[in-house]
Amino acid sequence: PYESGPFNLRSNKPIYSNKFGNFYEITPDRNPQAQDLDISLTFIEINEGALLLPHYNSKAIFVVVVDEGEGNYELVGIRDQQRQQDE
Amino acid sequence: SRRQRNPYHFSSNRFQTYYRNRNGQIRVLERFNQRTNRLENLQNYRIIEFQSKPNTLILPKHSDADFILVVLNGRATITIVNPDKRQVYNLEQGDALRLPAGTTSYILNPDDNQNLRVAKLAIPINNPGKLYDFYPSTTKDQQSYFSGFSKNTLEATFNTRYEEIERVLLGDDELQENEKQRRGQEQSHQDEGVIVRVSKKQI
Repeated sequence: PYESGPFNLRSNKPIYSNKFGNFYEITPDRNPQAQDLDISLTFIEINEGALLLPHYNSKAIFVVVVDEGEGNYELVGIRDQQRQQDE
Repeated sequence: SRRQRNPYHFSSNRFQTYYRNRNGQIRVLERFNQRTNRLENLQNYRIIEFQSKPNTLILPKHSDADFILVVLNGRATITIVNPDKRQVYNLEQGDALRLPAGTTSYILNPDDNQNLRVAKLAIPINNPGKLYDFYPSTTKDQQSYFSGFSKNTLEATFNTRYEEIERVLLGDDELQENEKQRRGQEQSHQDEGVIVRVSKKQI
């Protein structure tokens, strides 16, 4: 049965939580509407002066929207090498 | 020749060497849709082949692509590292294994005599037909992806002075050189590149 209606990103316990911030996430396997679109919804609170440690997502492409406050973001990619030059 | 003009025929010289050292090589087949748009529906698939000599290791890495790999020849010990666990598989000729995108893995040829030959089907997840390898380690051929972060971020992350991080993880050349002399080593893995020889003990 298709489930509809609103849901709250902070209704479940945060996946990561400590005195420096909270990381809430609704994943496709937990919500039929998210599953339908194959997306996750993430809500992250980072206290001033705190750092979300370097990490990567295996397969998800993230779109980040700053709702409130400001922060620095560092992204690391690989420089285009030989493999791409020949294409 | 007729074969050369057949857009469905990809001879082995259609591979491009992506990486090679004395311990092995990694080759990538040209894009299927490069020669003919009749193969456009294959544009997000790539074929990669690698060969490694006996008792060698391809260093840990992850890629932004899903893989299915098949052992064509020899034996392989493949270790898949997830955030909370590590799985080791011993593969023989004909064995196939799916390697999900973004999982860190390393591949050992444990055999004393036989070369290892593996074919991989790659399905990139970010850009159609394009994939990148990300190595946490530094060698003469590539830098650790940690070197992309700022000094401040690395110090806060590892809770350690930058000089120490640089020495242990980022492999600053001069420092490594001193280290080597201090330990009296002849050659470090760093000099070899991403396919390295390993001792029997390490295997």
